[in-house]
Amino acid sequence: MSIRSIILRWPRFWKAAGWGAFSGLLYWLLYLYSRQILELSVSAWWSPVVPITIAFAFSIIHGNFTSAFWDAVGIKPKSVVIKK
Amino acid sequence: MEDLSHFITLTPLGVIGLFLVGMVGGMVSGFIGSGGAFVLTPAMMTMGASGIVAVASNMCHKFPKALVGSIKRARYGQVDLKLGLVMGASAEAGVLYGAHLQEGIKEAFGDAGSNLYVSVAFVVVLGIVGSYVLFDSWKIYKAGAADAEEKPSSLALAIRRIHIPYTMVYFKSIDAKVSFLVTLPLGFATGMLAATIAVGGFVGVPSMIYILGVPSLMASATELVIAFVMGLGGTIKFAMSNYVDIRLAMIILAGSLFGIQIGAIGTTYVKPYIIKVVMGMIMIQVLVSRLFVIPVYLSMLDLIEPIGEVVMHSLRQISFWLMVVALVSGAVFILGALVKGMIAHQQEISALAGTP
Repeated sequence: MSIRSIILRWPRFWKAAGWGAFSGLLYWLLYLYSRQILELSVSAWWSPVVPITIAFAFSIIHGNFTSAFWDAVGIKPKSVVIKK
Repeated sequence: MEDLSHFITLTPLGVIGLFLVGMVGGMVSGFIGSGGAFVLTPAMMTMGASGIVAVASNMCHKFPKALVGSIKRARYGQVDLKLGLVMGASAEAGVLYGAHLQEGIKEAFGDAGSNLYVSVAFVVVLGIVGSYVLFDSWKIYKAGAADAEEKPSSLALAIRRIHIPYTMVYFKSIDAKVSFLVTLPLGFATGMLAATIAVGGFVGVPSMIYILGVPSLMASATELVIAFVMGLGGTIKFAMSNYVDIRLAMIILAGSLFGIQIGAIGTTYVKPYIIKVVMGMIMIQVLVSRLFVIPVYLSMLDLIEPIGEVVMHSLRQISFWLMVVALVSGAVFILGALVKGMIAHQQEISALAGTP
């Protein structure tokens, strides 16, 4: 890996690290408060909102992290090659 | 204090296992539009979760995974949102009817009857659809038409000629109008299969390809929209009965979102017929795995000579591990195709850069 390619990838690493930290925080909170969250998800008529909201939040945060992660690693979709 | 006794205690090994199965399942889903659930549900049950909590938690990881996957593939221009939503609506009805039918069978014939119904549905549907999908991809390969643009089947062309006033809807994936009365049973069957064997895409994707004439890549991507609609509806239904274990769902999601990105990226490197190859290959392997448990349920219903406990346990184990093999082999195939495609693409770019 050349120095140029490392420098070019640097912002992508930071992006992945940022989303990763955010995603990690969410999972840590889920682990820490799992009992309270489970109780909340079965306690009242509005309880179905709890797992659905959590699932949407994780899909956005963790989804952005996994996308940025593979991008930083260098796994990207095929780009269109224009033949001269 | 609320009763949480139906939720299991998690162990580190169980968490790692679910993460890995989720990742492999996500990879297959990102590529062919569905898959993974047939291993995830029994895996959660092995950890001690009851069947209904396993199904509910699987549903709750399915809709955010499908959301991320469909957004990713929409960026590659592979999603027909309108078709996904139209089929998703009837698929939701299929899910509800399928679940109701399951409950009725369980009430009348017990757990063994319900399991036998699921296994027979697996064998019949996967036997017919899986062999046809594999045969079709082999035909394309043999004809040397792997690089050629996919053409709609004669059935798909005939369906486009049917004009029913006030029901015609334009779908961009086929650049034609089709009556939504045609998509209705297709979506319904997808939902029913999802409620029965947890993988509606095994009917949804082939029906879009062969009956509507949607290109393979777009069909597998659009299936993710249908999976999102079905998953969201299913989660609401199960969450209202307090069956969703959000911890299990989010652990699987952690792995599956890593996998689904790889599966989606993989579709940009492969020839369209490869989608059919992977789908057909997984379907046939899952079919073989279910053949092993059919004698178990037939014996439990006293329809054949009784089978000993040891043999029953062995047959169940063989069936489960064959399903794991089906999923892993699909993921290995996808990874192989991705690596091969990336190397070929890099060589193409390098060759062009060297061209004066």
